[in-house]
Amino acid sequence: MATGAKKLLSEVAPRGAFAAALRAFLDERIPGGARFVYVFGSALVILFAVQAITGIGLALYYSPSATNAWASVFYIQHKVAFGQLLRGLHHYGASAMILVLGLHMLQTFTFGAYKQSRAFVWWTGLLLLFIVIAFGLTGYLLPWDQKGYWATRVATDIMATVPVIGRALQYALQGGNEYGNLTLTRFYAIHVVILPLLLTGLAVGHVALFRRMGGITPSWRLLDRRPDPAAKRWVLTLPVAALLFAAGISTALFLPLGWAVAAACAAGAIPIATQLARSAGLVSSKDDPAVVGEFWPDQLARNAVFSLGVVAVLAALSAYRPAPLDAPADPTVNYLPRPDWYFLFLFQLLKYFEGPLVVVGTLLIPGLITLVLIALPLLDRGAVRSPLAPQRAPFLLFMYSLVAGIFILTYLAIRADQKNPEVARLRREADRSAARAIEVAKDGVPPEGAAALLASDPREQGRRLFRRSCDSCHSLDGAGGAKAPDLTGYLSRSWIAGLIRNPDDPRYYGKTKLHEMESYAGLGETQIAQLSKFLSALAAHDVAPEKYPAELRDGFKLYQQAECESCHSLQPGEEGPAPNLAGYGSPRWLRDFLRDPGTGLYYGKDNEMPVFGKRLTADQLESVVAFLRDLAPAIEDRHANAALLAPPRAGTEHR
Amino acid sequence: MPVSHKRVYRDELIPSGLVPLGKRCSDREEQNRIDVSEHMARGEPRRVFLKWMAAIAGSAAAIVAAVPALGAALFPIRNRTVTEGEGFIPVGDVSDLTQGAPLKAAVRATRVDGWSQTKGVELASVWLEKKPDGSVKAFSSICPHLGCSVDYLPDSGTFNCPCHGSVFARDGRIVSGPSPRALDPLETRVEDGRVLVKFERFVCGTPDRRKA
Repeated sequence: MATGAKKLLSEVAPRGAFAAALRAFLDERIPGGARFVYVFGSALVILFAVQAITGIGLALYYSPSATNAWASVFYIQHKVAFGQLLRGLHHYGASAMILVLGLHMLQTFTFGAYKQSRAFVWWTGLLLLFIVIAFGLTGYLLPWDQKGYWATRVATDIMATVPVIGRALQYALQGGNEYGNLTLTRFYAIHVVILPLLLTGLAVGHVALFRRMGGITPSWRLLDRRPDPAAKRWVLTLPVAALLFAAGISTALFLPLGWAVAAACAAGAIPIATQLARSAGLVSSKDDPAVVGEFWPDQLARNAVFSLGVVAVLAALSAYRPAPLDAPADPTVNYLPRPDWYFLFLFQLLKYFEGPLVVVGTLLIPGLITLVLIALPLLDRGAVRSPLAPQRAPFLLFMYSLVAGIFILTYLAIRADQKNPEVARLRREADRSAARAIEVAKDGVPPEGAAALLASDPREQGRRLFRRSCDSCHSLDGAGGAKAPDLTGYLSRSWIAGLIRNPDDPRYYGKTKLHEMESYAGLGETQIAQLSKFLSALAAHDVAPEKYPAELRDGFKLYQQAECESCHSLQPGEEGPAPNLAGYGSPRWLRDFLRDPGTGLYYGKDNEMPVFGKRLTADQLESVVAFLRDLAPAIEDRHANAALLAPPRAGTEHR
Repeated sequence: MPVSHKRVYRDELIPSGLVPLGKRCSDREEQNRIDVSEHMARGEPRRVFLKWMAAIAGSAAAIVAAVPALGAALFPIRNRTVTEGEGFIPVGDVSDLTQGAPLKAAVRATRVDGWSQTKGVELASVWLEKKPDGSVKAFSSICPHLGCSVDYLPDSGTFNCPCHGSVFARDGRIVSGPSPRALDPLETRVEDGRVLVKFERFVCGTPDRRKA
């Protein structure tokens, strides 16, 4: 049987073809021996394989339509087994590809491995770079969340600024005059069919060309080892400084990816720096130029170890920092678009050009840089590869200025956002919408799509109504008018405590006509805290004081001692000189109050607030009530706006 | 060879750099080849170690990517991706039913299909008949033979399947035809005059009744 099978196999097997194919793959000579510094190219192949495998997994669930895309991504992330890891690997894998590709390119350039007959290797590499960028751009839109939607719109709008053919380009890419179903089907087809085919073909060509030409021996291995006083040391310090600078900045600023970016930069900078130091004769080299290593197993083992490290980092990121999913795309909702981190430098560049000059930032500068990159092997001529050779200095200067420029622009973009409280506020709102969308989508998304789901959700609708109807007078989270109380943390204990301390503060009733209540700061912090606790608990106990549960008794006693009751009645329906506080903050109280704040039960004749019973439908009113009731937990979770809620400092004690 | 007063880079001296094995053979090439074989002879245990390292690290990386992809691919085998009308679903009022005359009623319920949720989807229909004790008897209208929809013929007082001619009595028994089992009864309940049916699907074509 066994011999029979062997015989059958030997008949069908193309003689020696498999072995020859394997040999062709594994036979590569590594001049000077295998090194960890050569792993980047192979790591890119592995990373692409990871993207392909996880991409297939995602494609089993993803649905490219405006109504389904977000919901299907939500389903992958929250329902499918291993979905979070699957999507995380794909999401972070994209960033890793850009990062490793950057290092690979920089290294090829620095070692002069693109010169002369290797120019085509460089050019195919450049094409691959643009394909990877196109992958990033198209993939960013596919979840059809706010982030991807708005950022990609900016990109296609930029495309429209191309002279003459701009509009045609834009319409062709976005599949029509507006963003919608056809945009998604188009981006999906590009992302999963066209780009993978292009990338695979070009990568095979790139590697075949490289194999044909053979790896270069980095110049330091061929160098006369005596230190050379004429070597331009500044050329050495430049790349090292740029990479360390990059690592430092990213540690501090790339919040979600911070340590991963920094580690990758450091991992790339260390071998490049040591090899450069070696080539300058600063470190003695033990390399024997006569030694020739082999791809298998010497180099392949190193490649595998590095790739495993990269994949492990991606898996860890996916587990501890799941790939983000913003709220479903909604063109009617205010959103601050920001591109993915690797496009931030281009985004920042746009800020410097206005009016007719916009085209300089969008097309001219990136286009010129691309042209120089293409022309590099034609300009940087001659056989000399050493980065220390004076004749290569201008090119190194160009390349490392470019790298430094990218990092500086990225840094400036992040810095500008960090310093702008409006950005932080919009981000918080977006995060809240995202969290809410994920919460309401758990039971399934209606056929009209995820955006409709969120828009019809009472709490989300409440937020939108608040921004439309209330924030011209009330501010929230640092945005809105200042004519009426700031509602950041409304109904929370700390908000109530602030009110008791100083009702006339401009952040409370200072700017309204309601000045009857005096400051109760004199009660002392302990009593204020107890009183606020009591008042915030009333939302859950909308009953007459006789029916209060035992835990409210002490608070009620204090309420009476402080003579609050003489103005603010706690008997349901009893009018008084100040708002009735029976069931304060309960849905019933809020609904009643909003319907007509000017009745004797609430602000009475001094009321300036609109009668919302006439402006809003019953459903809308309920949404606003639900939204207002959410403000207290939001702040108690977050401890934000500490300044507003902190007890007054000594010396500024209320007069 | 090297000129002492000027820095000389060796790659300028050897323009061929490194040529793939067996392409061109200069003296230098010959020299390298000898080095390779010597190196191999010297480092045999090292090579074995490197081979294992490559295999283990490579497989581990492949597993990290393959596990979630496979896990996601196989997820539908053990998990329900479509759920529809679980529990008792109201299908009509008792007052509409009369004894001895089965009535067809549509089962409408919420269908969750993957990520999407549609309310009021018509899932199937059931035959309802009021019993003398006031309870309601229900049969799934799906023929247990091959899944066509059975009709009630008042003249013969039987449920007939138009596809392959199975005939069932009013109590669901097989009268004639190819069906391997009687009509599938469904659990019912009457609440406040409303008829509720626990809708279920069964595997067709088997003599025993198995949930689909």
